[in-house]
Amino acid sequence: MSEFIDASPPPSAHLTTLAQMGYSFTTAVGDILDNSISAGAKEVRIFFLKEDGTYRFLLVDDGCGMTRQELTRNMVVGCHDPNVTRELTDLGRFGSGLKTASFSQAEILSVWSWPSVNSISGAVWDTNHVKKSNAWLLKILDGNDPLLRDDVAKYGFSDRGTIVSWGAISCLETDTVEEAVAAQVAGMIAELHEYIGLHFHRFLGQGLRVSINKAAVQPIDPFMTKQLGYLEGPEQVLRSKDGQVRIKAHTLPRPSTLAENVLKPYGGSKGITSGQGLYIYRNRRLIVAGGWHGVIGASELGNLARIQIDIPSTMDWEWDTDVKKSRLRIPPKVRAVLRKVSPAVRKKSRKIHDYAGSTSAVSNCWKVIEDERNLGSVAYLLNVTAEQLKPVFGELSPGAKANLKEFLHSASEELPVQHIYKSFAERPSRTQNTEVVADEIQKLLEALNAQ
Amino acid sequence: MSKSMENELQLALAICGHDGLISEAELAVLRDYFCAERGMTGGDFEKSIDSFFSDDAPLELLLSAVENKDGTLLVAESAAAADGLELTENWALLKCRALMSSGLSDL
Repeated sequence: MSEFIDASPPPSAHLTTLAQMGYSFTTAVGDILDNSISAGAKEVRIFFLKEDGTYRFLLVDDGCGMTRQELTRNMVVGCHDPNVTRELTDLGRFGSGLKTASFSQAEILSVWSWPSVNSISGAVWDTNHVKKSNAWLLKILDGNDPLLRDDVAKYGFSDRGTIVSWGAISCLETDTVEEAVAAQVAGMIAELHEYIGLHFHRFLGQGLRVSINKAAVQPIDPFMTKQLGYLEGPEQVLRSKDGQVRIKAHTLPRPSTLAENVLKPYGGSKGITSGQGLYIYRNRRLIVAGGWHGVIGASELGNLARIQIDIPSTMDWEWDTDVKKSRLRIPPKVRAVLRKVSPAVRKKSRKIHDYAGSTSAVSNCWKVIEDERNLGSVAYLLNVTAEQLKPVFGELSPGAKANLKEFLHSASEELPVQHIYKSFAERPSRTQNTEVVADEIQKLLEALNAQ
Repeated sequence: MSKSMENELQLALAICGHDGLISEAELAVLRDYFCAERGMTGGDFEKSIDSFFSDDAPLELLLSAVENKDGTLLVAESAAAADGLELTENWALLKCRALMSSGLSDL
C-alpha cells in the first residue's frame, strides 16, 4: 500500500540553502529595490551605517507600504505564485527575493511598513532563532515598539513607506581591523552606486530618486545615447500572445573622443570593451548587462556594439527567468533574430575603428594618425603632399627631391615630442610657435643661403 | 477581407507563431503575399494579427477552416523560414500535412 509522508525540509537546513542561492551584495540590494519600485516608490534612501559599534544596512522607500496582514504574508518565503500574471510595473516573480536576498547577506531581516501615518507594523526574521528553534517563527512587532518607531522617525518618509533593514551583516568580513572593515564598506557602497546606476538607469532617468548615504545615484546609460558620436540602430519587434519583444541596436561613440569623466562610470576603455553585447531588460529593469551569450563571438573591434532587448514580465516562462532574475534563456526565435542583427551592429563598430585608424590633416603642414588598433597610438607626420611643397618639388632635381623627402621623413620621426610635452606641462603659457618663429626662420634661411 | 483569406492568414500565423513569437521577417513575407499579391488592406492584416493573439484556436481547427490548404502551407513555410525554420514551427507544418494526408483536416 502506498502512502504520503511529510518530507518537508527542516527549517534550519532550508534556511541555509536559501542563504546560498548565489546573491552578491549588489544583486541582493537590487532585488529589494525591485520591491520598492513595484510598490510605486518615487524615492529610495539607502543607508549603510555603523550604529552602536555594528554595521547596519537600511533601504527606505516612499512606496505604498503594507498593512500588518500584507506584511506578514509577504514575509513568507515563496509568497507569490510565479504562474500568476503580474502587473507590468511589478518587478517581482516568485515572492522570494526579499527573503532569500536578505538571508544571503545578513542574519537579521527586519521590515517596518506603514501604508498611512498611524498604521505602522513590523516583522523580523532572525535566522539564528529559526535555526535554534528549527521552525519558521516570524517575530511580529507591535506598532508602538520603540525600535520600530525610532527607525521610522529617523529614516522613514512621513506619509507612507517601508524600511528594510539588515542586521548582523554576514557578507562583511568583520574579523579584521576596523579600517579594513570601513574600507570594505566603502568599496561595497561604490560598487552599489555603479550597479544601481546601470541596472535601474531607465527608472533613475524617469522620476525615481535613489541615494546611498545621502549621495544621489546617477543613471548610467550603457548605450551613451546622449553622447556625441552615438549611433542609433534599427529596431525590430517580435510579437506574441504575452506581449512584445523589442530588439534595438546601438553603437557607442569612439572612447578616444570621450572625456575621462564620461568614461569613468563605464570602467574606462577596458570596461567598454568587456561591456559589448546584449542588454536584456525585464519591465525596463536591466537583467543582463553585456556579453553575447553564444549569439556571436566577442571581438575587440566589436567593442562598441550593444543590443538592447526589452521583454515584459508576462514572458517569464518563455525566457526561463530565475529567482534572482539575473539569468535568462534566450528563446530560439529571438536568438535567430539576434544572429542577424548582431553582425550588422558589430560591423558598424568596426567601421568606427577603421575610421579611427585613418589619417587626418590637423594643419596644412602636419598630419595626425590616431590608431585605435595599435593601443590607441598617435603619430604626427609632416605633410609631404602639402600645397606649398608642390612648386618646390617641381624645381628640384631627382636627387635633391630624394634628399628633401628623406629630410622631411627624418624630421617627422625625430619630432621632439617629449620636449614639447614637458614644455607644455611645465610652462604652457610660454610654449607657443606663432610669434617667435618668424625671426628665427628668417635667420635660418639666411644661414642656409650663405652655405 | 474575405473570410477564406482571413482563415488562411490565421493558419499561417499559427504556424509562424508556434514557437511563441512572430518576427518582423515572418510578417514581411506574409504581408507581401496577403497584402501585395492578394489585395488585403494593411488595416485588415493588423486586425487579423490582433485577433490571432486574442484567440486560442487549435491548429486542427484553423487548418480545417482553410480551403486552399496546400497553398497556405507553402506560404506559411516560406514565412516561418524567413528567420530560420524553428523546430516547433516545423512540427506544426508536419502536423498539418499529416492531418491532410490522413483526411482528418476536413472533419
